[in-house]
Amino acid sequence: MTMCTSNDRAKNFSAMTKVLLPILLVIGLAGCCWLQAIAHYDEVAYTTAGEIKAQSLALVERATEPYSEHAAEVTSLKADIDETLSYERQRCKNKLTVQQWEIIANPNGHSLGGLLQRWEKEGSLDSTFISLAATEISKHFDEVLSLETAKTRG
Amino acid sequence: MSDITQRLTGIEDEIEREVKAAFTEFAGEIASDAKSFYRQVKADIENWSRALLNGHLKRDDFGWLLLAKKDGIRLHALTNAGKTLAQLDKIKAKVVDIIIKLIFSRLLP
Repeated sequence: MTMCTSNDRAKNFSAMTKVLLPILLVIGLAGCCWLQAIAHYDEVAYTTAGEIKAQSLALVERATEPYSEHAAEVTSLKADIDETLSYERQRCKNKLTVQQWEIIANPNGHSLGGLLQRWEKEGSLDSTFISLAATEISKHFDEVLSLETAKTRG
Repeated sequence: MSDITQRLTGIEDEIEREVKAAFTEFAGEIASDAKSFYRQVKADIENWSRALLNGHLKRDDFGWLLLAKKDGIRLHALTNAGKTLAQLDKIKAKVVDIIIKLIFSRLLP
């Protein structure tokens, strides 16, 4: 049986430190949210935004019809947006995207949320207006998608 | 200069003032970007104005669309602020890579 001297132990510790320290440093820095200025790109967030955009525009086009015929679809879409907002809020350094979703969802604003509110209040909306409003809402969603695409891959 | 174009004169300066008041960080860059965005949406606004004057668009709907453009400008400003931060992240990531590379080269030559 060989005896381990204090000199050997010191050498072993030094060798281990040489290997482990950089690894721990890499893992630590990679996982540090505080090092980021903005959230990393998230595939789920991007895909969800695209799906909600498509779902929203399909529904907005029906806003020339009575609201009562589409009330359930509106409720379902609003629930999906709430869920998306919750997801976006729990992402690290994601304040700008959260603000974007809040603008889009705001029932007192002038994007999707505001249009759905008007539809509910007025029963149905003019086709010329709906066509123009849908174009604007589409561009609003494009901003969310554009910001997500610009984020660095983690 | 058409009547509509004339009525919209000076709006770029107002956009600059509003944006600078709304953002503390990168205010200059965002204001300049917002003005450039306005120049891109100017044609839409002029077309809606014509539709309004011709009676194809109701006053409330026109107002709503204008405010939708305003929301669009805010969204665009947020996108650009995010793009600037993402650029910063790329620079930071490069700096971290350099540091790690140097540490490795010293510890594991």
